[in-house]
Amino acid sequence: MNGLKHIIKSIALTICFSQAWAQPATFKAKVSKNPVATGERMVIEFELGNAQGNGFQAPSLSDFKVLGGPNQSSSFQFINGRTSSSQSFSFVVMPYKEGEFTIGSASIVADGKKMTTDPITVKVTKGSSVPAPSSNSTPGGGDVAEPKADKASGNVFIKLFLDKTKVYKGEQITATYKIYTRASIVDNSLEEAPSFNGFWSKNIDLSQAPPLKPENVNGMTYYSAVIQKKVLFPQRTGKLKVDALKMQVVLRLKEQGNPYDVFDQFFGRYRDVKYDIASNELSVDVLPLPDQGKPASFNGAVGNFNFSVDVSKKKLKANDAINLKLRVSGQGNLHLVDLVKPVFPSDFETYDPKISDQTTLSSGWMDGKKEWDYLLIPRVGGNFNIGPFAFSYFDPQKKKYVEISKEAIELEVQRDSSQQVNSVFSPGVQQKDIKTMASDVQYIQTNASSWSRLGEYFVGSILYWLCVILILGAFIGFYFYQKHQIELQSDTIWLRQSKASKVAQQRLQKAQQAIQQPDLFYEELYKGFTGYLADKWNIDTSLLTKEHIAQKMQQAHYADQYIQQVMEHLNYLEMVRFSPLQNQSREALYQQTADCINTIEKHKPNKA
Amino acid sequence: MNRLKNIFGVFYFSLCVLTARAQEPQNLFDQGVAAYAKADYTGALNAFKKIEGTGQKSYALFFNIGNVHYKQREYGQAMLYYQRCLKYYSSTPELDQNIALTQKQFIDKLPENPNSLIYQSWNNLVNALNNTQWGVVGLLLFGVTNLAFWFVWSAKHATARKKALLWSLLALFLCISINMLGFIQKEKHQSQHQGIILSPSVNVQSEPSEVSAQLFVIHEGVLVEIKQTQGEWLRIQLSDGKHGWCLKSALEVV
Repeated sequence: MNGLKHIIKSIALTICFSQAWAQPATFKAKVSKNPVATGERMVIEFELGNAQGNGFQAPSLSDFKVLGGPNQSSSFQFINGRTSSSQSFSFVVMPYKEGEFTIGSASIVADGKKMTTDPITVKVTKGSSVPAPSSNSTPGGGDVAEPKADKASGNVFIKLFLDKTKVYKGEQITATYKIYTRASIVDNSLEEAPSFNGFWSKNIDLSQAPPLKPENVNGMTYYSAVIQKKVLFPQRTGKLKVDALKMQVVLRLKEQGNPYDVFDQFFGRYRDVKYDIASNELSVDVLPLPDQGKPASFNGAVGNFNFSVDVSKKKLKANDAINLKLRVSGQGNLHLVDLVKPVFPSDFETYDPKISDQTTLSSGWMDGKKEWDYLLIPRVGGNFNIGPFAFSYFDPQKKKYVEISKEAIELEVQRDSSQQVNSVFSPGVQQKDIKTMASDVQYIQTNASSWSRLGEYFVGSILYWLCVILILGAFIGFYFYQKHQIELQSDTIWLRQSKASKVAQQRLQKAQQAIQQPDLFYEELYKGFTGYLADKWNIDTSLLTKEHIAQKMQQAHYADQYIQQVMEHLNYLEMVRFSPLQNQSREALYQQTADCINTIEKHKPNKA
Repeated sequence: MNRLKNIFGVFYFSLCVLTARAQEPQNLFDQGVAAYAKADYTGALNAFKKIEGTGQKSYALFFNIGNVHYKQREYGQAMLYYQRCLKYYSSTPELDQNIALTQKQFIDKLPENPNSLIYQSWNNLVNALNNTQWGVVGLLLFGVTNLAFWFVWSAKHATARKKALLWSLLALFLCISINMLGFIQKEKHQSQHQGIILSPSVNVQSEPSEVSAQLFVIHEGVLVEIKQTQGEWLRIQLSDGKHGWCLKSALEVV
């Protein structure tokens, strides 16, 4: 429903517009005052009726001082069914010389055709004197050219004073603008306040209208008054400019009156003259704060300060709140002073501090105190240290840093007995996970113990295989050596056996040769056997007895059975030597004797 | 006499060369550590890379290069060197932590290999000793085995022989295992079947050519198995089983 209303409305409007197009377009120029006096304001207006135009071109207004414009306005009227729309461009100008001047034609393009206004002639009569605008002022640009200050300097001027021109960054400077006049000031208005780029600035309130004081400047007496006083804190280093203050003042000047005019003679004739005046500009050298001896706690404070730390109580119970007050007081850039946040125990609940600062400029210096009020709530009992605290500032007079440090405050926090004991193990403490502040890689390895070369491997290398072969070879060699040794050992038994039979053969050679002669055979057999035994144990043949042989054999650790065997055989040989028995063949006896010798040779004990 | 002198000279010279070889990386390494401590990561990287250029390797070297890359926010390179640590040496808690931390910097989230615990234990076993140590221990065990068998052969009594046989079989088993581990380690170190993606973004194709279908996109830091090589192309497999072809230049072999 609402939408429909809108549509109807817009249709109605369209109709109105189309009706408006029907009206013929007009373009006229007019002035607010004609004639006009110099120093008066006048409005020149160019009005376009019943059309919307663009491409407005103003005529040259070089005969006037342009104070403002072009100001554009448009209106739309709907009266008794008739519509009219208008667009106007206006300039505020001030004539500064007498005579008749013609304002030329302005032009605009409307409805596709160019329209121009008729020129207007303006008569300017004598009024107050106005200085001519400088030649480079562009008409219609809106910039008002400043009247030359030196023209008025004879009567009035503003001067800027700085208490210092070479300061450290953050050091206070006081800028004072003073006006000097020889005539009384009827009216004044601030044209342009200085901007103080690169400074933090604050106005010093001047209590009331400043009294004019007589002052001698270059041999002339002026009345001076402070018009503005600012404290400045340079925020940058280098050359900073303190801007000029621009003012418009109206002076009441005494005129050379008509000497015949009684009124003039009594009261004098006065004329009010407007002046645009500007103060001088000054530059300030801002030095950076020295790096040498800068304390860690330095945070930009420059001036002369005091620092104090207060705590509301030192003995308290857990969960009780305490206030920690840090206070910086003194003279300097207090507003910029900031403290390094103290480190509080992690078991304390802390809040952002309440910061309050009270500064005054009454003495012309930034003066006062700044306080940081921390609210702390210890959550567990124990003895805690807060601090130590440090505050430092740069003293520009002494040109050095000053650090004020305060000792740590010891707090005795008792356990909160009112807290309920939850369990046997945890006396009312809420368990928390350890907070991870940040994650970073583990630190590097500082020792590299074992270096090796890429692509070099011992296992499978020639040396490795060589070692394998060597070990294997060594054991195979050892095996064969051992085997050979064992074989050799068995060989000696055989050798001894063969050797023994050889000995027997040698000894019994004669007996064997005489085997066909029984008497000689037994004799030789006995001799051979006893000779062998005598040789064997190195016994003299004359001492050869059975007992002696048995003794020697025992000494040689022969087993008893062998000794027995040898003794029996010896007995037997002795017996057959004298009474030969026919029942035993001589070959068998020879063999028996040889066996006996073999036995002695073979069973020679190792210890012998 | 002259010949003896010559031999002695050669021996002395080689000793000098060996000690010089060992000395130089240590100096550079200390320089790198000092630079790292001063947060001069470029200097540290230069020193460590110089050592790497000489063909020397050590767990600490790879670990530190990885750390320097991490500090310079080159996470792909960091991962590459941490993985090299794992390839050549057994893992440590610090290394595991660094790898986990580096992993968090990457875009692609891949499932953890279910066999990774077994694989890691196996890796730790294979890299428990270095190759020379495996070889020396293996050779010693080979000697012991031989000795044990000799006892079996030479024992006079049946019980002693039985005992010796038992010991010799045990020694033989150990000898084979240790030497095998040495060979497995060598094989593992020489293998080039793992790679880390270093390009910020890599298209994985279905075939080794640009015109084939694009299967998926992976990003820096992904550890891939290299299954096959064909010209400039590699067939890779991810830990979740996906596989496809990508250009050789997109990754670096661990």
